[in-house]
Amino acid sequence: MAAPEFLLEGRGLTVTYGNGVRAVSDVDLTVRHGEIVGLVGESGCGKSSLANTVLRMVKPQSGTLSFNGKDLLAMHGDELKAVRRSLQVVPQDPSTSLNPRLTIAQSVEFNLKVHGWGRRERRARVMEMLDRVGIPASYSTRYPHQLSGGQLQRVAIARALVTDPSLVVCDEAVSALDKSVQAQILNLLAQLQRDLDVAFLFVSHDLTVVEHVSDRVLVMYLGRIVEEGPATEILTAPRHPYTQALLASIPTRGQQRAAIHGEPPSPVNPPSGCGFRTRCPYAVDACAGYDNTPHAVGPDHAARCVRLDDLALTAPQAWRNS
Amino acid sequence: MTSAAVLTTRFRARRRPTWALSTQVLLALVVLLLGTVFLGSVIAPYGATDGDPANRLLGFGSAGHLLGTDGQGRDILSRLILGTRLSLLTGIIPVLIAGTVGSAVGLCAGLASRLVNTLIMRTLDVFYSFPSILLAIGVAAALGPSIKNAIIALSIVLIPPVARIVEAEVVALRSAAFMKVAECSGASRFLIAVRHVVPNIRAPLVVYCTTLIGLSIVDAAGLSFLGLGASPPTAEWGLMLNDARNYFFRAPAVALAPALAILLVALLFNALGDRLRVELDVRQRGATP
Repeated sequence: MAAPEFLLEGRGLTVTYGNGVRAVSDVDLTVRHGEIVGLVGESGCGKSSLANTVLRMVKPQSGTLSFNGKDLLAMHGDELKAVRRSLQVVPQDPSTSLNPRLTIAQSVEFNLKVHGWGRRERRARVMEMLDRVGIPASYSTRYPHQLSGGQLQRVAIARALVTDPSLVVCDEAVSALDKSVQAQILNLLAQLQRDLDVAFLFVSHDLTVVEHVSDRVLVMYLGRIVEEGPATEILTAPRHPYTQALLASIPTRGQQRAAIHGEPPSPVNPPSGCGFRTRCPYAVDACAGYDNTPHAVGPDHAARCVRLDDLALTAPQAWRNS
Repeated sequence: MTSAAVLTTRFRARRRPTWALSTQVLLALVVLLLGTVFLGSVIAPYGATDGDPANRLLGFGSAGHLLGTDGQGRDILSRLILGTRLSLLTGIIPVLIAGTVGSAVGLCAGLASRLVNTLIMRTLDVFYSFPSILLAIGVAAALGPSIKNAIIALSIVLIPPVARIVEAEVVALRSAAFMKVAECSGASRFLIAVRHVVPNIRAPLVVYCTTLIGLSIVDAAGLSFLGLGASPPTAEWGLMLNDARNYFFRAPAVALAPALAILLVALLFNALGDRLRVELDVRQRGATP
């Protein structure tokens, strides 16, 4: 059997919670082998729900999700457990991502224990991974409270990679760290991706973080992917007004930061058509009737906006001046 | 890394720091108490039931009777020493039973689905809604007066509070990121409970149970006092208090000795529980009060 083109392939994923919140609507999400995919959006846009769906922590209302060509949503029992070995997570908050009562080596070891590794192999493997993420062997018997946030996140990464996964979901993995430590962790992730050929789904609210590591970027707004494309293209030639707004809101030296006005609409009662039209300066009547079909704007690059053609050349500059 | 180095690698924390002086003192006192249990008959100057009607109701410091004698002329010190065994038994055994059963129930409820959790916890609430001593009296009265039944009654009474403490800890723990990671790793619920939940609830559980020992001793004394536990002429602190009631205005010292014994032992276990809270916390190790 030929390896499927995509390691992870989600089609038409929709997640609705009991309280009526539609966190994710009709999202297509693909990750290729060894690829780093960035998923950006402001808080509440549904990116964590999407990440949890991929991790099989949240059941989508509709849509399909396959991992390595197998239907992830239909799995259960031993089959699901086997897949979980190649599907790992690095959570956001380093202060609660490790069990405070276990030494860091025990925390990393647990993942191997689950999958039935022998004691000797476990030990060798744990030490190898800690070494790989730059944690000295002498730290292995320390407790989480004895480590800094950056070190904890390194341990969390070691724990995720110890089972030799093919996809790691990093859910805001560097958001709680300060800028200099963020850069170290991002470099480490990029290094590991090259060395171990593991794919990452990198979730963040910070476009600068995502641009740093990603091959491909998905921009999410109000439960939908509004634009997706190669990282360089998204950064240099964003096509969706929301992506442009996100880019413009990155503080740069000497330039006024352009903020998006207003609050995102409630996901309980989202606006018809394009979700961003209530805050978009280019909004026209047609936006309310938009059916959210993506428009290809280049190879591997698509955006969901009715005015793509007539807005083609309005660069992020428009935002700076507004 | 060489394979020899790997083999000697320990993943447990290396050093267990020595316990603080106050903890050591409290533990020494507990050992002393246990010594009294086992060596009681050797230490006690008189037998538990050796009455001397000529020397009734002697006060503290009387010749030959350090703590005086009770209404039947029995030596109070001897009865206190010999009563330690029963009083500690009724203090510790129910807590051991309730600690085991209660934490198992709490753990299951905490990790179960919302429906099962609600069923378990609301059932416990029914028991919890009775004042503990009232429920103990009810159960003990239904089973008939004996030490064994008093222990059973107290165990039943102590299960709901232990289960509630454990359940609350487990539920609080469920939102921690490492629990989600453990779930994502494919671990079974049982393995998660053993490896991730138990180490986190062990300390609060031990602490709470130690404080329950004091409560259990007091409740057991209460049951004996009401005639639902040990029966005369057995030496047991609650029963001694019961006897002393008749002479309270003539010789208050008779009641004072067992009352103080109950109070001090309850306090001892409370203080020990508080110290253990600090000692068992990996983050507070080495901290002295």
